[in-house]
Amino acid sequence: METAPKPVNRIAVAAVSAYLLMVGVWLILSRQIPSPGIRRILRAKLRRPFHGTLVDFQPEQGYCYLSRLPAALLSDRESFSCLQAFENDQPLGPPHAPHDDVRQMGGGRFSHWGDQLFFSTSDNSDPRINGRRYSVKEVRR
Amino acid sequence: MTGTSKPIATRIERSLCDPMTGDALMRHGDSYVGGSRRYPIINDIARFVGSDSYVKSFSFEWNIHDRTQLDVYRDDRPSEREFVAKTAFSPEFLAGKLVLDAGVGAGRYADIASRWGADVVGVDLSYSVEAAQRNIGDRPNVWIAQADIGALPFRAGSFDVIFSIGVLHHTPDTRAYFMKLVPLLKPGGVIAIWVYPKTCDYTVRARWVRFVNKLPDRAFYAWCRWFVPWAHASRHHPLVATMRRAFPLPAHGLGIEYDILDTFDGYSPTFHGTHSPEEVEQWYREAGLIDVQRPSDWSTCVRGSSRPPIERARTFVGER
Repeated sequence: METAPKPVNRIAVAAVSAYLLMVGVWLILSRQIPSPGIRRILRAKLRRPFHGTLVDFQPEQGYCYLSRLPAALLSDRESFSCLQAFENDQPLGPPHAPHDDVRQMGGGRFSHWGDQLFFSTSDNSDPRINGRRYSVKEVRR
Repeated sequence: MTGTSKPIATRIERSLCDPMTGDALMRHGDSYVGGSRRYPIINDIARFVGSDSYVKSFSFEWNIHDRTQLDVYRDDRPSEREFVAKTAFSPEFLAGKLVLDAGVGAGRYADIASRWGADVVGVDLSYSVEAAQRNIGDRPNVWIAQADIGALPFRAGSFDVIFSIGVLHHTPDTRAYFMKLVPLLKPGGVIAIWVYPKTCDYTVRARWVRFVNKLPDRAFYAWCRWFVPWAHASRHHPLVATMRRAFPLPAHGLGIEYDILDTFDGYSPTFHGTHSPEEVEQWYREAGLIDVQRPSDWSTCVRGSSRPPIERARTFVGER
């Protein structure tokens, strides 16, 4: 029975937020959720932002294609990617997309995972034959 | 039309048996009785369990979001698209068949199968059966029961088709519960399941679940109602985008209620198994199923058939 949304219970929200924050910190510190070490973060921040053109696309599943990236880049696997993908210099997105969403919905969704880019094209066409240029750039804010 | 006086009730009652002893069950007033056991029918729902055991979060969510995922209350039919993608079933294939929806929830897939002309038996351990009964229980080809997939009240070889989409990974042992479904297929019957894959979001979520499922359902749901719309509105902020990798959130593009439901659904269960497609295919082979296939890009959707009845000898003689 869907009814009009009730006012949010602020005490419950605050208590759950505090609990989840503690759990999250513990999961990251105990490396149960992948996160990069301090040294790797510093190294990544100190070098020049990466940019390059994508080549050699491998079909994965559904609308998802794979392309190789340098392993030195911090990726979404470590919850730290700041990579933006482009199609003919137009930004694709949303970034950090769940891989199932890239596969099933496509539409430009992408995820930088380890040394690979899981991505889809803006119109779910095949990047190997659609004649467009794909590139990536680290965007540090 | 009450659940026990419609045509499907007559069809399914022939297959009913005591989930504990295997004795035949007979209808007596507002109960099914077998030996010394009695299973009540309450709100037109046969009850083969005394409580919702380890699936209380599902009782909670499906009675709040009883219409969120049902195509009959939406214009965009996402459940039908997903049902077809995950099972490769069609209206022509299901029409007239006796179908078991193992883990009916609020009835999103049973709704589709019943509109396609199948006789649908929907079972669930949780009190989501109340929502399913409200949504589709008045259809002459739908029969809802509260029962445990691990101890279902049906004789072997009862169903033409069984599907269980997004359910078995919430049981204590995904493979064992799958194996309990297989004998319920008729010879030549088809079973299709989907379980959580071992991909990034599901494995990260699995780390959280054992902590989140300790929270009271109402408190976590209140948090979801606040957090999911906020995260959605702030999704382009780099901090939020990073946070979503550590705490994956669904973004189906099907409305915020859909995402709130899916967030609660994903983090609150007692059990949250993840499996590889190869593992699921192996279960099918171990169960002696044939024509094992993945019907779509949903990697852990697997479909297979039980062996068909042996052809009559005279057919072969005639062919010679």
